[in-house]
Amino acid sequence: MSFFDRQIPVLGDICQKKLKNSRVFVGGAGGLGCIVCELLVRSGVGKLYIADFDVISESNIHRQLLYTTHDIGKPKNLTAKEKLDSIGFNCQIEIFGKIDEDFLLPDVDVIVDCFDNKDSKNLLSRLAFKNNIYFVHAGVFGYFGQISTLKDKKLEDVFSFGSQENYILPYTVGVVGSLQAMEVVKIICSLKPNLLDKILCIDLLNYGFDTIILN
Amino acid sequence: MLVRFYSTLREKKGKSVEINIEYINIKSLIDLLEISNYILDNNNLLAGTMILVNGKNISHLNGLDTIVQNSDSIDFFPPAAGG
Repeated sequence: MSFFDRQIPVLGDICQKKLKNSRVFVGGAGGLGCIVCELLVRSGVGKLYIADFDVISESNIHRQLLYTTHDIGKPKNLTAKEKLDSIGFNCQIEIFGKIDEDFLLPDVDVIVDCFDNKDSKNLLSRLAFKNNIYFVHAGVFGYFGQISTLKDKKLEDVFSFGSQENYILPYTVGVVGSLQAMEVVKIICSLKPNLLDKILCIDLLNYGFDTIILN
Repeated sequence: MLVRFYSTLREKKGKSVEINIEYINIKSLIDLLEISNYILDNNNLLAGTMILVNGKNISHLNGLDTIVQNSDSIDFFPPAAGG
């Protein structure tokens, strides 16, 4: 028996080995980041880098599934690492605080945008673009969210973000974060179709999924 | 031309609308669709709204002066930035 007996029949041995050898950078350990990090660790990803400088607050607990009320006031990056380490899957996890334009990005296969603001999202995208690394973006607002994978485009080439109120539902975060983790696995394992140069729009109010093809 | 709305705009305008018009610029299309209240402020596109013409953001075309035609697909999309 192995931890992955139930998923290897679906993904295959080769994909499972690719996951074990993969290195993923996750920007943001909030709602999306908690889901993405936990699913990637449980998928068998070999090395995870997590960047977040925030501390856990009361308003985080309803959707940030790695944290409990006992964690309020603790740093997200360290707490996330402790929770993810406790799964016991031998994923190497390294944490960072705030990143900037001069941040030396580790050698990774995929960068995942789980940040909650446009400035951090655009910064991470520029780092991905500069280093020619797949960038899996997601954003959520209320019942809605979107996911997109970019490689030869920056986020600001495609998306026009505004500042928005922080209205977030845990269900939206759960669905969008799960799809984002699936997309990361698809990129690592070269599974098609993926969301490269597309936007998958998620509408949980009307239960709709639409794809926009980017040009 | 096929005009599609997403996210919060869909709550106001429905999923999509087919318009038969030979040539029109985006500003006039917004007026025709009666959505200026939702996406314009003093004739400028509100931050947080993006318009794609055949999958390309109009900010990299001619902005609100971009001309579209019957064969084009236009997406009005307010992207979500939360996480």
